[in-house]
Amino acid sequence: MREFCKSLVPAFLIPGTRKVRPSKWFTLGFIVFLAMVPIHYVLTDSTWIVKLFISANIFAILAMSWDLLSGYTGQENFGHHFFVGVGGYLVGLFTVALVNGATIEGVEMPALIGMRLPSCVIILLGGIVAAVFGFLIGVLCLRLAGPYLALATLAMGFIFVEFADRILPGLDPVLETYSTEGIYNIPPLTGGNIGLFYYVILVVLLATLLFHYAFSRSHYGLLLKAIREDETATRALGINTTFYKVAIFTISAFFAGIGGTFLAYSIEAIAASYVDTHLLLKIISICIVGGMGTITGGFGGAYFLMLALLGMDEVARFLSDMTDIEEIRSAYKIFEELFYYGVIVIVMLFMPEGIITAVIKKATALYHRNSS
Amino acid sequence: MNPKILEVKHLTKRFGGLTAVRNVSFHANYGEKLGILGPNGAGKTTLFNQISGFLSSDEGSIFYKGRDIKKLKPYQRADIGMGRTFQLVRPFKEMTVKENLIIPFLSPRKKRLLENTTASMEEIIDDVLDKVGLLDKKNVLVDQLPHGELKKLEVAKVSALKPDIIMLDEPFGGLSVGEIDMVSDYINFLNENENITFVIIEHRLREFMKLVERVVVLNYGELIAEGTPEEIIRNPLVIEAYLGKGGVKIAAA
Repeated sequence: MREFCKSLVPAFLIPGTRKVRPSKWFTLGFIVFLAMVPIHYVLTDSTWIVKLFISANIFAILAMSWDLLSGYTGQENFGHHFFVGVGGYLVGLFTVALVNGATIEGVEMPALIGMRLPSCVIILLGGIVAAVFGFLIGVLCLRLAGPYLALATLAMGFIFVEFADRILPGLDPVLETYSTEGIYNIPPLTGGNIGLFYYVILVVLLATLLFHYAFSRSHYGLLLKAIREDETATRALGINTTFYKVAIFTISAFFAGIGGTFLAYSIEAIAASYVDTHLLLKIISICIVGGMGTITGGFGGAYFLMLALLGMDEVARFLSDMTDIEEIRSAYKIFEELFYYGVIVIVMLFMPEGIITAVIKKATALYHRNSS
Repeated sequence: MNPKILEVKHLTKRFGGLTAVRNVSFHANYGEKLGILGPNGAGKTTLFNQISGFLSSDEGSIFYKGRDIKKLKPYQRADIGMGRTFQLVRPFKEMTVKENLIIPFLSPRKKRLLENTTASMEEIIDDVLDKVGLLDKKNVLVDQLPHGELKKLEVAKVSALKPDIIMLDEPFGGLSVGEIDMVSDYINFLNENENITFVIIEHRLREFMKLVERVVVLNYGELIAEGTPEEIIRNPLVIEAYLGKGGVKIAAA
């Protein structure tokens, strides 16, 4: 019985606890559950559950990549939406804005580039270009730490939003046609087959999860932790911390870029307003809920917040049905963003280690008390 | 062969109007245990930071194995064999004792050194921990260690890097007499068996004077004396620096 209970504890959510190994059965069961989600779509023909999971999976990728750099290595990057935006905009540019011609004032203008890249190349390109920017920003911000790094990277994020919003459309008349206030009508990745799209993202998510998990368990993970704990002491032991900091900036940006391409594909549009500081705060609140510095916490946090929002949506729907007041639902939509920010404040105040970590620690403590 | 592993020439460091280290010159020979003595604020730690590269020097030069290392960054100085500890312990808190010792093994220097040995990392870590008396705490989170054991962990960590010279900044601070003996024994062991040179800052004079072979004394950033421990204890300038002008008479009485 005890072993069975233990096998249910998702230890991979709390790598800080060393004694509970990640249970194979739990992990396997969860993956099977995730693999079966599209059955709902097949049976009921409604897409909202699948879409919800797609969104959660994308945010899990973004959150894990942020946590790798900011939580685990302790380099507070507040410009993560920059990398997400690079990925997203590359999709927009290479599927719509750059490859389509336009008719401007009756004149036929040719497409800026005549070649359409395959989707997988665009996705990879999104990751690579974001990684290049990650490398550059990493090098630029080398000497910064703490609030200074946060401010500098935040400013980078704003620069990207301004660029996407104002400068990009002004570069070329054809671009202007397509990218004013965002790029829309991005062709769906899997030809509109949402089930297939779900699986594609699931595979990417699992690959990301596996990479981050293996990384955090490796000696390199230990090294990043040492840099977070005391960079000076790490340097005194003959380790070039600068190299590792820039490397991790690059890796984190790569995954954020990949996540960004999927974000654009899933919304079938990309705009500066999708990748502004609201996105950053959403990513941060997911990490905070899941527990910062745990790497895989972002995964749990994304699902937790998704379910919480879903529950709130249901409650709002229920209340508006009960009371016949339509405004309750529309008011809820406004509160959705406030919810994210509220979560940050509340968790920081009462559960700085993260909701999920706190709950599991409490549950484990109770379990040990009862069983001993 | 040049007998000097470390040579410091006319080193100066100014912080605004304050000159923390003024025109200091000294050297350490291969295989020597050199002590650096001086009252609080004499500039000992500043000197260490300059030598290990965490602080730049306003004037003067530092030679390590005959090579000017002015342009090397701290990790590069550690890479060529200059290890150091800090006055305030700097453990990696959210890691176990063993994980703390793994970090030096991830440095390029240690990887190079390990290429020529057959001992595994686990064995070396166990051996080091055994010698400083932390073997039974191997899997304990560093957070839970008392101060004395953190001090020992610092020495263990730097020795795991296997430098050619180790600079210890108050290795005995906050340690009990028994613990000091243990750390002293370990320092002697490294010195005799692995030929590691030591430069040590310490205030616990009784144990310190037994450990080191030669002492240089700093006061107000300046080198005021140099000699064997016996000479230093009797040196009027040193006594004055510690006890004030009347101190020489008191000490003589």
